[in-house]
Amino acid sequence: MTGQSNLTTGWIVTVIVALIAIFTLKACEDSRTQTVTWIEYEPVYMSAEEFRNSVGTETSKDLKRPGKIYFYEGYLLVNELNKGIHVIDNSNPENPIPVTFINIPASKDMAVRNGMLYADSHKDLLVFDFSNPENPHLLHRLEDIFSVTANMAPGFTTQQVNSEQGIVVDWEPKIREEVCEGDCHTHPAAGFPGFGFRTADAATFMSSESGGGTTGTGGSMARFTITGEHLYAVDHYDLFTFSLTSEKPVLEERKQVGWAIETIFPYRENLFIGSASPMYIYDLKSNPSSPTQLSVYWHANACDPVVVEGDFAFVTLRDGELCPRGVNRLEVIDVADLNHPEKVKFYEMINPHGLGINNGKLFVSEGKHGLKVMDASDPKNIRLLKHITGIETYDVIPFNDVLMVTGADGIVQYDYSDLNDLKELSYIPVYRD
Amino acid sequence: MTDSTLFKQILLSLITALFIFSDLAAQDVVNGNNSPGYSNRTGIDMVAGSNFTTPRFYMVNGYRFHPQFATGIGVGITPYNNPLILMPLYFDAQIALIDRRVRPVIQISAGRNISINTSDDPSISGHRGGRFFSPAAGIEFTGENRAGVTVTAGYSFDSAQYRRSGFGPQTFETDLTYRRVVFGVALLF
Repeated sequence: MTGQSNLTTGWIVTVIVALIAIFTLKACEDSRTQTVTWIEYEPVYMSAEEFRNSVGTETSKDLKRPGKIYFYEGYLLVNELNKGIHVIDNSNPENPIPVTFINIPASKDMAVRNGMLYADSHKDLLVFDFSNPENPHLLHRLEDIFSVTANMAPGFTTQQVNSEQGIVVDWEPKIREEVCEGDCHTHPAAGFPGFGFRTADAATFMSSESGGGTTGTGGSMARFTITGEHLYAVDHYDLFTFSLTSEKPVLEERKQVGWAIETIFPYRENLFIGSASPMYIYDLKSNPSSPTQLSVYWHANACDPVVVEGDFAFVTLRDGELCPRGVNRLEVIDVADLNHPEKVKFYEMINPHGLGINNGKLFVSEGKHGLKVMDASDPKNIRLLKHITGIETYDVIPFNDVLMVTGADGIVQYDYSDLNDLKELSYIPVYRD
Repeated sequence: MTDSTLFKQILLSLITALFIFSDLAAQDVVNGNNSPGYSNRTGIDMVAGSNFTTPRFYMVNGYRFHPQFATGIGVGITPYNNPLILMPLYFDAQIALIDRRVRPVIQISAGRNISINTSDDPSISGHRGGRFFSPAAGIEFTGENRAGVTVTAGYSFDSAQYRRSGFGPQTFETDLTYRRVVFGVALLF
């Protein structure tokens, strides 16, 4: 009798379980929820009056968002992105001393020649008397020069620049999020190509001393360079040529180069211009006031600073926020025949940014992945000597055995007289709010 | 008729048939082979959904504490390939409601999924498995030396997430939840 009771109980329980199972079938639907997150940039406005009046020298400040760097006669200039320029006495690289800060709203690039500092400020080109680097002062303002990039966001935005609200002096990244049932196809950032927007990156070039003047050394992602008696600057599409024979620069030519122009690098009597897709080579010899295009070297879509030494150009291509789906590599291009540049080799990298070369010593910023020190004395057989990790880098200047490295973490300097024994000389940290 | 309703009817019919059969068959002799000791259940479930059906292969190794109760640790593989394969790692309990050679059983499995990306899409930058839960009921047919066969029907809940980078500073996080009907057969050792 007990056995029969157990059987009945078992039967009842199984039916209950079956009913529960059937009940849960109401929820028998797969679901797919997608959350898309993107960064949208919002313009930061400043009134025209404040924009003009805010240019000036202030006491030295902490680094917060270091951008491009420039070295001139013992002084290290560090761009504080869209804020101005830190002037640092670097006569002793083991003990760099901040001396002043030049407040320049919406500034990203700079170059120095013969005690004159040239810097951009939104659409304008500013000229400072830099004969006393501890007390520079504004001499001239050339208005409405860089009209294309000035109002470009450094990334995706839906915000239209409203000139009635003032001048755009910065862009603030805002995190946006949208949750979709299924896939998000129509969010505002869908299809944002990334290309076509300038970068805030920096890189390195070795500028020359010529024309009887003294110029500094900047980076391969710089958009300003001085060679001879001319300042060359690139905008999103254009190459600007300024004559520096007088105190106030004279715009001699504005020439369309291509699209998504990023960097400019002078070597001998040529300009190497990097863009999101090709590298352009221009000749200065025939007429420095009107550079002539010699050739175009096409590479994969990627952010691409370039430096040149001897018969070889070194281009880093990287995948990035503004160069999505790009490649990450170092390409070596034979430019012995400037009319027919030819790729001879490439080396896989992690996420290369700015680079610098000095007598076959090649330094490549790897972004968040540190710094690579390479022996490029044989460009067809470049050897990695050292990979420094733990620092974020995007720009380097190798100069007189002192390697100046900038990145989100600050400025680090190394003695590279012995590549096998790189010694850290100093570190200027970044202080964030 | 929707797929969900069809599944419901199939399941209802199957479970009813199985339990009626089990009630009759359960009047068979008392089972004497499920003595305490190591137990293994290896099987395949058909994980059926409105979009597609995928098999799940699994194995539970454990211990039978009582002729009507066994627990174990299970591991399986569910190739959803959408774009993840999920590998559930779970705790499993099996309860026989009566002690007969042919008897109704309830199984409960709960744990976490380990995810494996099967896509060659380079934009997929990360993924992780989520919860796994699967109750089922069915009939167990046991023979000599603890060997047997279990036929079950039940419910399966799987979740996982993967992250994909889009153009520029965009990321897409996709939460996948599979709520499915499962029909399974397993061998007992």
